[in-house]
Amino acid sequence: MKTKKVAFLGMMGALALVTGFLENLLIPDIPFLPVGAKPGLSNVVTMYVASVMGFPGAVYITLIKALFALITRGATAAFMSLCGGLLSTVVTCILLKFGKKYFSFWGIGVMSAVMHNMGQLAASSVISGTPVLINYGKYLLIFALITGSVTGVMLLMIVPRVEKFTVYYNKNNSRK
Amino acid sequence: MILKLIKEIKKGDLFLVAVLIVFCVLWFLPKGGDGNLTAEIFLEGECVQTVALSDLKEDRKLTVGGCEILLQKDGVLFLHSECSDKLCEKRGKMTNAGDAMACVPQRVVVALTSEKAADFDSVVY
Amino acid sequence: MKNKTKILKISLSVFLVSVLILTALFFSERSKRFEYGEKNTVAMGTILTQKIYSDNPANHISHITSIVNSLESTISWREDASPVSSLNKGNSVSDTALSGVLFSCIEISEESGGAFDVTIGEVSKLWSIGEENERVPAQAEIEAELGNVGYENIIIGNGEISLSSDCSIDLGAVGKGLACDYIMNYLKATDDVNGAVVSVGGSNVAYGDYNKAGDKWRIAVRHPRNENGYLGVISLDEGFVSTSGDYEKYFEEDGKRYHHILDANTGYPASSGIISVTVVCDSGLLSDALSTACFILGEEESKALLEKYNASAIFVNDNMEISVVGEIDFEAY
Repeated sequence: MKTKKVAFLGMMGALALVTGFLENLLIPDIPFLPVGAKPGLSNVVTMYVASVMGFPGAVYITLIKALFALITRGATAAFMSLCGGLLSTVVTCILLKFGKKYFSFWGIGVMSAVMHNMGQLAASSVISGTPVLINYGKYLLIFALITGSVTGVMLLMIVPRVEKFTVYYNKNNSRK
Repeated sequence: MILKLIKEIKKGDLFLVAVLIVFCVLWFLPKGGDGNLTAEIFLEGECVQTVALSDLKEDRKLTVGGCEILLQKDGVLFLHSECSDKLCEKRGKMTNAGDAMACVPQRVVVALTSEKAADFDSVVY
Repeated sequence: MKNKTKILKISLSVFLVSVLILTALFFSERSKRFEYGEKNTVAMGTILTQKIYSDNPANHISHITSIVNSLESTISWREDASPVSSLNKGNSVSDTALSGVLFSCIEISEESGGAFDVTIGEVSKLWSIGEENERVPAQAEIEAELGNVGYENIIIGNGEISLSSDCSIDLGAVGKGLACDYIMNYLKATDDVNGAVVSVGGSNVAYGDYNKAGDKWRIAVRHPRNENGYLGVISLDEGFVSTSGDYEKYFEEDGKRYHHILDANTGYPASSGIISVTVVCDSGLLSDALSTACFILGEEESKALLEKYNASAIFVNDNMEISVVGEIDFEAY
């Protein structure tokens, strides 16, 4: 059973890193973005894992992303990724566990993106020592609304289609 | 397929998105111009008058140190001065917080300030 | 039912925590700025604007005001008792500070091929731009005075300064920058000023920090054609910024603009196609002198000059095209 978990997570982790990498290639094309704003496509993976495996799995994906950031972009990027990722993951898992009745993946996606940005904003304030970045938070909010909706909707479309896999996985790993 | 997706939307989603949109709108509302422009008039280095321009209901004229100054809701200008170079009159209307103009021979300086800090600390000219 | 309350509780707490974080950040922004005092006075024939970030700003403000006033009595040709006036009357003068200033001016004159020259005083008087009797002098008048103009006429030796022709010294092109140097020296010598930005008639000196985060000073560049507009903002940690423009003092006659920056080689207002140039550098005197020299020389001819003095500049030509030479943290509007 554990092997399946490891394999699954390994696959998901790789997927998260690859989507993250690919979207960075997309970024330069869009000139009006504030620094650090990303479409957050790899968040789709995190949320999916959260919905299938719950908190532990999602945390793992978050950590892997932060570690990758550490290796490829340095400590600052890693810290930002970690803060944003952890806050986002915690909130996502809470919503998935208790909020299924009121929130679909759309709302969860949006909340996840917003939390991720807030976490990063807080992290950058800590690093630079200035909270002046609040001003910038406005733009991130709008952006998060949009990207969160995109990832949320993507999940709405993806999850039913990988239902079979999820069910199979659940059958073999008792998830609470 | 879109219909199918729309069916998935739940109450919480709409509530959340509505709240966020409200937040964004509020946060982005322009704060009614620079708000609260105040003119400070100095004669010989001492502040002799402070006028809250945004509170003005109509234009006001002030005479300080031989200079006739016109104060309007959105700015100030030197209407007339007894000085010889008339550079102050030539300056025209000043409207920006953080800026200052003067009639040098008469030693009169008018500075504009506002509650909201200007985008810069000083001007080079 | 239990779940519903749980969700509400949790979402509420997350919301509250975020609000708390944001508020804390917002308030700490307020407290990060140092105490400060500001004042606008008339000094050195122009506006002296001071922003001093210190617990005791008034003290420094008055010191700086007197520094500027006393500098004026040394270098102004309008003050009868000043060493410069004495020099202009044909006397020999012994003044170390003045010698130092003139030395620098001579060097810049050499480097700028004579375009910048402080011996232009008599020609400037003919024009009197920015004053009651401003006019376009006759060519013959200009040529007559131009014959005496030339930095080689400034003789400095054995601690004595004298002029070898009938020219007169006008330090108007460097006075404000020089005042900035004096102010910077004063600021560096005190220990209870956290930061300061002072504008002497538009020439700026920025020192220290205005907040605990050590953010850069932001100095807006006046728009050459819109008196309430700005070209953009220069950000710098510490240094000097000066601008020379054809909009500061001028008059128009027959549709032509006559501004106050005279080319010492021709005796007429410089026309190199530049309407404004802003120089950033680590010396006040230089930033002021160079802005004048660059205005006269134009962009291409200024590059070597700027490089020699490790200065950078923002040029605006008469098509309102902005060009930055060297490294300046400039955010155009």
